[in-house]
Amino acid sequence: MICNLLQNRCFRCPYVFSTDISDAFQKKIINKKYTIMLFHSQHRPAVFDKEAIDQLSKNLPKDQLLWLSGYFYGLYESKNSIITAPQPVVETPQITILYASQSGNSKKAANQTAEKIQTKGWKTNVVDMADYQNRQLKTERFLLLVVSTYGEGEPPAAAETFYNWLHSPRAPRLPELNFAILALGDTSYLHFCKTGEDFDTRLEQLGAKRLVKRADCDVDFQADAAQWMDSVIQHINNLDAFKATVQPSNTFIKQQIVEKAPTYNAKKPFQAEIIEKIQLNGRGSAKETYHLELATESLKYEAGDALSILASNSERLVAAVLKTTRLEPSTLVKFDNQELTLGEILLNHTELSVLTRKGLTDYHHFSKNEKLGQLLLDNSALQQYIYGRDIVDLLNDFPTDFTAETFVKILKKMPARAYSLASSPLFCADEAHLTVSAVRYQAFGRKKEGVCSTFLADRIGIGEKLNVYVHENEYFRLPKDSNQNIIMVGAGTGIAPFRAFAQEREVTGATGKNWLFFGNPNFTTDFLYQLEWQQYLKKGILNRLDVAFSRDQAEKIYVQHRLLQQSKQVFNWLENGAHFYVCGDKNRLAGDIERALIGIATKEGGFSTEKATEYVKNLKKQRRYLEDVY
Amino acid sequence: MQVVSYFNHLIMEKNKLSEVEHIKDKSQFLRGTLEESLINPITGALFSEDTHLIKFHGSYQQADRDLDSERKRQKLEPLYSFMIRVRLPGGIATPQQWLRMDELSTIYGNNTLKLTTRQAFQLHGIYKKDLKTTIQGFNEALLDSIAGCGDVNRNVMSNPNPYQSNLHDATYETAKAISAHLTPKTSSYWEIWLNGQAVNEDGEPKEPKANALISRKKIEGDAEPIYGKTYLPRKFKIAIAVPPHNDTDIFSNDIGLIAIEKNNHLIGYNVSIGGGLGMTFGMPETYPRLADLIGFVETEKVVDVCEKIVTIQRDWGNRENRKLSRLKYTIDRVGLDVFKTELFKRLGYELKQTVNYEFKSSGDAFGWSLNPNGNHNLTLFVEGGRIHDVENYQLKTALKAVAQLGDCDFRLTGNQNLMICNILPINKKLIQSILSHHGVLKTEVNHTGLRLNSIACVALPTCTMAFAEAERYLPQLIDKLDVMMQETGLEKEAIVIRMTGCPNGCGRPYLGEIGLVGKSMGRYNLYLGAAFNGDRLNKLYKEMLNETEILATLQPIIADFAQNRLPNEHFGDFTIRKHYVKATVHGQDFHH
Repeated sequence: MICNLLQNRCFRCPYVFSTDISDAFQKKIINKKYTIMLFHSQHRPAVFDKEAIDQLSKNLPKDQLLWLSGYFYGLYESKNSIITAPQPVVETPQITILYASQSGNSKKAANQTAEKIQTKGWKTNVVDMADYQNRQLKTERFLLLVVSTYGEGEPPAAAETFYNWLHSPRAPRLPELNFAILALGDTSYLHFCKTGEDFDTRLEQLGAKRLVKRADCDVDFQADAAQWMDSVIQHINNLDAFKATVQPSNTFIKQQIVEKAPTYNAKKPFQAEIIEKIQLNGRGSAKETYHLELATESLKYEAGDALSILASNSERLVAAVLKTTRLEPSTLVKFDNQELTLGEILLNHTELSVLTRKGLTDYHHFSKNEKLGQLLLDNSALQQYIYGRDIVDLLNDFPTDFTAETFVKILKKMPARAYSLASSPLFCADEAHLTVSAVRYQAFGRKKEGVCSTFLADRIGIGEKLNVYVHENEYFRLPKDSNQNIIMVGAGTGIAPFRAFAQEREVTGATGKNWLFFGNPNFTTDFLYQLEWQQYLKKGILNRLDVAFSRDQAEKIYVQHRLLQQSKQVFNWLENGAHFYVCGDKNRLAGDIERALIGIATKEGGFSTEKATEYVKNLKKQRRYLEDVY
Repeated sequence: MQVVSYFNHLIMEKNKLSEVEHIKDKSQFLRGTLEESLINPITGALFSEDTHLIKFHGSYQQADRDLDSERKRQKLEPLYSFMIRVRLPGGIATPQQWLRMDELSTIYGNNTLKLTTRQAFQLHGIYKKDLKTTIQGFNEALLDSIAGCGDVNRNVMSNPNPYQSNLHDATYETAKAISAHLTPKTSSYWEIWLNGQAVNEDGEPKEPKANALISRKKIEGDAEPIYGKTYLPRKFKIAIAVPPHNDTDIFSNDIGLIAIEKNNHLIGYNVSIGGGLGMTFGMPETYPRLADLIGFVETEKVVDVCEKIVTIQRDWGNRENRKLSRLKYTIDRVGLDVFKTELFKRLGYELKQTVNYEFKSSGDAFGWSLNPNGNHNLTLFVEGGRIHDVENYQLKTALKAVAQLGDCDFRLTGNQNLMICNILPINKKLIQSILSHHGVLKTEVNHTGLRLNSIACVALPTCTMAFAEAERYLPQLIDKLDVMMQETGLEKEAIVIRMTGCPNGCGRPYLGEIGLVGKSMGRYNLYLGAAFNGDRLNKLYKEMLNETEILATLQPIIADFAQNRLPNEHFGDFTIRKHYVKATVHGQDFHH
């Protein structure tokens, strides 16, 4: 029996119907075992022959209609099964693709890899590393790893067990294994792609053979990842075991692609018009937070997703770079297969405000500066150096004469900046909202600015268009079970996704309880979206709201203190299956909240610190403890 | 008897009672849910019912109205803050008390102190989270705010001038005695704000109440022998004046007491009842009214007389429509004779014949004066009653320095001005130089008589009732009127000018020889014809004037006054003699 109605859900999306529909039908369905599917009206197929349907159904009594719905589903299922992947002529070894994902990117890349491999007719098995049976590894012949790195070089929670086991003496020798690694990371971290690197080294130690060189991808991973996939396929293709396979037609894949909504990416961004821009902080605040509303007709996203924004640098910074390098802005340079002026490249296409280890290495390659060479050898000194410095500092500290051509080569392409979306598409149809804090500070004798946040704050206004694409946060989602309670912990602009969640819970009429912890410096000026939260409390959509305003009293109070104050309730909620979400600063908030939760588990669960740590880890593994930190 | 049954009927109709009556009734002697309101971290406001109750504790919930629309767009609630009115019977504060108020206004308030028209301090801009600390702060200096606002007897006013008459000390004692007798007896004030503790005169806890158990007992034991649990139908005001000065504007009070002397000794008071200035636009059944004299009472009995008047108002006052609740409407409804009969019945004796007296002015005399004991006094003009620092006029800093010297006292006048009294002869020069150094005494020399006799209520941005500016605007309007005064040679002429942002009457605008009452942003009703000594109300002359129209309207009248006034004739009397307006003889003909 197929009956989404029992779960009170639309068959095409995870969202429930209002409860009264399900109450009216539930009994009948259980007794007669009908097949029932209901859809939200907006999920009706694009081409819908209403006339034909009306003609067919107008004189039928209710129970026949019900039966017919099942009959049609059967028809749909049998049609569906016709379109299947072609079977290979010769049995080939299975290619196992393991992914360990924090944000969902690794999973996405793993699935894309599998899709590509399937077009060759080869068998694949895509497994979440968290669910992988370690002892299975000995039997694998072909293993592809897609792993991200988390925080300061740590494996994501999903990889932890496998990672530790593999690095322990219990790990078996793997002479039969062929492997390749796709490492995802963020070059703004010092330990960029470290987990991928660790796996790479260890597998080699264990005697496994590397199929292709590891690819280390930055936040914008698509292009590098695609290249890696092609390379993997090409190498496998050359192996004897795969040579006899048939090149299949790729109808199946095409079919899938056709059904997808238009996707936007860094190369092909969506142009979203800014329709509202509000400074959210009251007068006298030390903070400068903007609420932006964008018009997004064909841009599809879900509550919990982030929006990647392509920003340009400030003219001031570009001028400083030109002045320091003494290069002419009008010089034409080849960049990304186009001839552009240096000025244009610096303004719109390159990262100038953040230094990375890779950037420094490349810089050193050209400059051969001895002091810089030494710095690159000392990790902690390097980390300290990078913090708060930009390209102008680098040019001043290690003066080098560049031609425009070489200078452009040492620069990183301007990456998109992702901001957690502050809206639910179900609530704000055709709109996407953002909560952005303008980053400005003084460092090393100059005023510094966050490139994208000040781009949004200072350099673009209402009516102008912004290049964006959706950065999917596959795991940072509301619980599938709408009855499940959630605890949301947000500091500063970390409030954004929880505004989206609250909107979504309101629209879908979810019955799970919602508890928000919010922190910022001052109550009177920094209570972001205060009026909305007050309304949500009044309407009962928000069941609890605990706030921490750190600067309103002599001692600093942060969200983790509020969590600890409510430890009993928090633990009860968790024990009852609540999902726990954290959004905010990766360096400060994430660790503090994790420690607070461990403290809560120790106190309320009577666990040892070890057990409590395990308890919290398990929440992460179960994907009930989810982070969106930046 | 007929009258009594009529009022019983009124009290019995519970469902007709105003909302505030229900709130008071179930408040458990002014507790309500104030404790919960104070700790609610989601809003800077109180639960709506508690906003009525906190008035009895001396505080009004307000918001910075200048920021309302901006903050709404920012998805922030209004910038709520609280005004706290600190009682000062007779308007006298010690230097220590002055310093404490100065300090609290700096730390928790908007860095200003407002001296009110009823001789109280007002702190503005206190956030909810700081309310307790602030109240505890002035409690330590033996000041309180209970009954600063609300349906109870408010701060009792008295002439603050120690040199004006030997009666002053005696009337000050009367003011304190009345105030103490009519202060609410509920322990909720101490419980909520002071963790159950008050301090006695030695700074020791007066009523230690260690835990909730005791305070619950206290609730059961709480009683209001005079007020009862629903207190009065509306606010109640008492003031004392020592003739010939009517600087406390006694006829605008529910009870006005005129000190009567015999051989330099206070023998008693003429009693007047039924004054009150508030009215509502568009409701002609509301009107300002001056009090009626009903007789004379000896000093020993004056507290008793006040209590009995209060109890009649408690029983007879209108509790259905708060706009008609003041004692003045009760008296006009039942008739003065019926009221007097009831009063004499409750007293068990009759008041004596009113004694002759004469009031000459309602303003303050500025500058230095000498006390009989050889000490000096200085009366300072404080524009709008606002103690603050501006560029060349550091009044707040200067007064703090003076208070730090000790050896003097601070007296708030009924005209929002300040006296520094009982200055030792050796300190006179020092104080003069402190004040001059901060620019205080320099500017006053040049003030016109008009400015020195001006009063403005707070109005925007904090007062929730204001329709128009007052305190922020009147000084600028006077700048322009001053030009006329100088042109007509009237710069030293004392003319009482008063401006309020709404018709409720905080700045006593209906007793201004020029009264300006805000009707909408930038527009005022102009009233003329009040008596200089405060014993006649003014009357509406023109409605809805903007600044240009105010100036154009007043210009010819002032010119006329300069040319055609009689010797010593005051502006208010002149406008009546020359028929600009009719004299208002009684509140009930204010609108006619």
